[in-house]
Amino acid sequence: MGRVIGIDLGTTNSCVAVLEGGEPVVIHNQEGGRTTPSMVSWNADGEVVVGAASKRQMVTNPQRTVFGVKRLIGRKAADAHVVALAKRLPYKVVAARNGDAWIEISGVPRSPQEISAHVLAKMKRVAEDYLGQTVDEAVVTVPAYFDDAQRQATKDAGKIAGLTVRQILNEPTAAALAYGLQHQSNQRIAVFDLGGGTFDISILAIENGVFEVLSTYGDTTLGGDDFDRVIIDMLADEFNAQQSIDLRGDSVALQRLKEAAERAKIELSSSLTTDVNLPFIAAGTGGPLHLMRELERGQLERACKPLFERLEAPCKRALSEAHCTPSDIDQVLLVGGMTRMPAVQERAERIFGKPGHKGVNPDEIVAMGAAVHSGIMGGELQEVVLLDVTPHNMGVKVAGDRMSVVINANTSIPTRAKKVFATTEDNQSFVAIEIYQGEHELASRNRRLGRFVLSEITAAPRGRTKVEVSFTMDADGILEVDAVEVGTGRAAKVTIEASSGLTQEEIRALRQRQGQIQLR
Amino acid sequence: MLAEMQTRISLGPHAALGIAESSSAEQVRAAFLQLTKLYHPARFGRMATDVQRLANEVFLGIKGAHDHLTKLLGSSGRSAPMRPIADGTNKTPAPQITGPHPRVSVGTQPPATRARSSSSPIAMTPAGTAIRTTGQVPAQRRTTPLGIVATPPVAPINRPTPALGVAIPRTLTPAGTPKPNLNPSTIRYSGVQPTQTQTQPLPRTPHAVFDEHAELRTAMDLLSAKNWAAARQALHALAAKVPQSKQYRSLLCYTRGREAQSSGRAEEAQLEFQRALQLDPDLAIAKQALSEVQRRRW
Repeated sequence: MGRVIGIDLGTTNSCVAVLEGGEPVVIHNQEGGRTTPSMVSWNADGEVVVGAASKRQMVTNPQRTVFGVKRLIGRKAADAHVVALAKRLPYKVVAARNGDAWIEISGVPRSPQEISAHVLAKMKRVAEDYLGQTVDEAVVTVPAYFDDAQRQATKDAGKIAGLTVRQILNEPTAAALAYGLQHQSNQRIAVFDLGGGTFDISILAIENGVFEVLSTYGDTTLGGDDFDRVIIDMLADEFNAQQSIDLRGDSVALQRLKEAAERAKIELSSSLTTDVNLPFIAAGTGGPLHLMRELERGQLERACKPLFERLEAPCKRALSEAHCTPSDIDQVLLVGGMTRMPAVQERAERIFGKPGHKGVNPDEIVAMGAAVHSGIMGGELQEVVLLDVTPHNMGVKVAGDRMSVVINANTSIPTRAKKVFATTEDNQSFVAIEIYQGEHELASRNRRLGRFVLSEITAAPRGRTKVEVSFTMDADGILEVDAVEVGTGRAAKVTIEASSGLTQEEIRALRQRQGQIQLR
Repeated sequence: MLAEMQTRISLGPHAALGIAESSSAEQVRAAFLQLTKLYHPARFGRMATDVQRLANEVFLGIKGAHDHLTKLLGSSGRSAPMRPIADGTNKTPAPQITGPHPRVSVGTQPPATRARSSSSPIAMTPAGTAIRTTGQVPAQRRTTPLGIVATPPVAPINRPTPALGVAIPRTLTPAGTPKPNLNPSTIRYSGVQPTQTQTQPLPRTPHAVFDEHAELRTAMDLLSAKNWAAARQALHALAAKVPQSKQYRSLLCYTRGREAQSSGRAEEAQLEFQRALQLDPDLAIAKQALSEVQRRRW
């Protein structure tokens, strides 16, 4: 059997690692970087460019350069978050036939899965070059708070890239695995993961090599991109006030602003002031206009205050779900590039009452954890195992559009849970069981995962006929639902095939196309 | 390896974890952690799909055994053996976690989760039960096209309730596929009368209530595993503790009958099944068993 690689498919950067002699090793890409920008560009002649080369095209080729596709994957174009996001993107977000958010490049709509697949294929090649053998299996990480569709879409992206995704691993859990491999003592850790696009918080207990996730919580719409946007808005608003030109309306100017904002943000993590210098950013009536200004750390922190505030609630919630107080936490792991920002570190310290652990590289630890997990699956690491949880409620829609939760969020998986339901009409001949995922009390506000029918049930006055619905979730988070009529044993079952919106044929076709691209 | 473990699980929680009946909470936890390392489905993640499925079932069994014993021993499971930390990385030993530990187990609802769900429209009463009251059904429910409604809770604060847990619901005993429905979790959700400590006719602490449930679960597990002798013992103990419960005695008779049947004493079996049905005419498994025995005798 070939090697299994661990890939951290990030919003802004991706990283690949492999287990060597029981230790996770991060692999350098062909350009010498330990992380690769998660960016894909299409040249005028249709050639696909991935990684650092694509990032260099960001300014010259903004409409055909896609970044941050992870914020769109597995989501609907009509999603309020997607609508707000699309307004600020230089590339065009369109709705696919099934309403999914896709990206239009030179008139061709492309799925986020396909775009992510280019990044995954690049990581696969990086690993193959290093290992000197073909790789076709991987452990890929996703934010803990990703829902079923987002996870499945990531799996499909792997398939398109020619990788069998053996496990979708939660990013904070992966970080804890990599950290815990070095520090195997029994302890409780909090993983504070603020990346390019998402914020996750997980509380874990390490006990005799068993890593048990106690709770996980997060915000899939909070990340480094939002901090960049605050800077962009700050600069653009000022420029607009002075020159009456909105730079956000011009995709090239916007792209330059974005680059400058990201750079300024990173610099302000180590210094107190930085210069933003964008000559010839726009053309005014009196000739070219330049944007030049000094930015202070204090200004950035004041502007980002609403974002910092959003870090607190998920942490509190995760702590309470884990039945922990901040003093129960032995170690706070800071993961994700955004945790380099001093104000973010201060926030984490204020919430948990102790400074974050400094010994890990926040950009690489997630990929290393994915590699560790590949070792658990491959049997190289016998003394470590992971017990994860499901991050969302799973339930059934009942009368009045109510969501009746069968498996609660933060339930350790695998798990099995049952609930009995009754008919609502006299002589009802069938029941339709609709399965939903999410935290809202109203089923329709959650994500619908599937539906099946138990027919020919016993005719009786309403409420008399009862159906027992049982949910079985495996360690991969795949849900199987069966329903049995109580008393007769009449049964029906369904395995929820999470759908990312692509059919198997579409995935196969994309896979073939990718294969050809790689040959070129 | 997996098949062997499956056999062990069917022999009861102690056998599943490979520990003595007298084991402490720490020993239960240690055995569980050890088995988790060996049998977690991730270990089988690169194998064939049916192996993965089996691994999943086996691990659910191990986890069920752990959760069951942990509750029985009244320990929060995880926190006790967590301390002290060996390498001294944490200077201030964190306080022990107090309160119930919310680990959801196979077919059981942990106290914390239960509390949380009590605010939802399909909440269960503290005993973890839910039954339907027609009086509470709003009119719109009847017209819903979607067909099903969760059995809403009844929380009769002042209504005297029958002895707890005794009502082995009819729903327990469908014909045809007895196995999935034998799962004691059904009891919790479908038929058991809700018990409120303040309305409980017998003085009983919530803890005792809990144990009874757990014991019933063990018994039902044994029954579904067709381990008649062990199930008989468990039910016997249960019936002795709750002598007013006809259902327990009925189940006990049924189990004796099955035991007799399996050793070829059909006449005795028939007698026991009839006795079971006398005690609880609705016990469908007994009905089914009786008809089986009678058919065979003709």
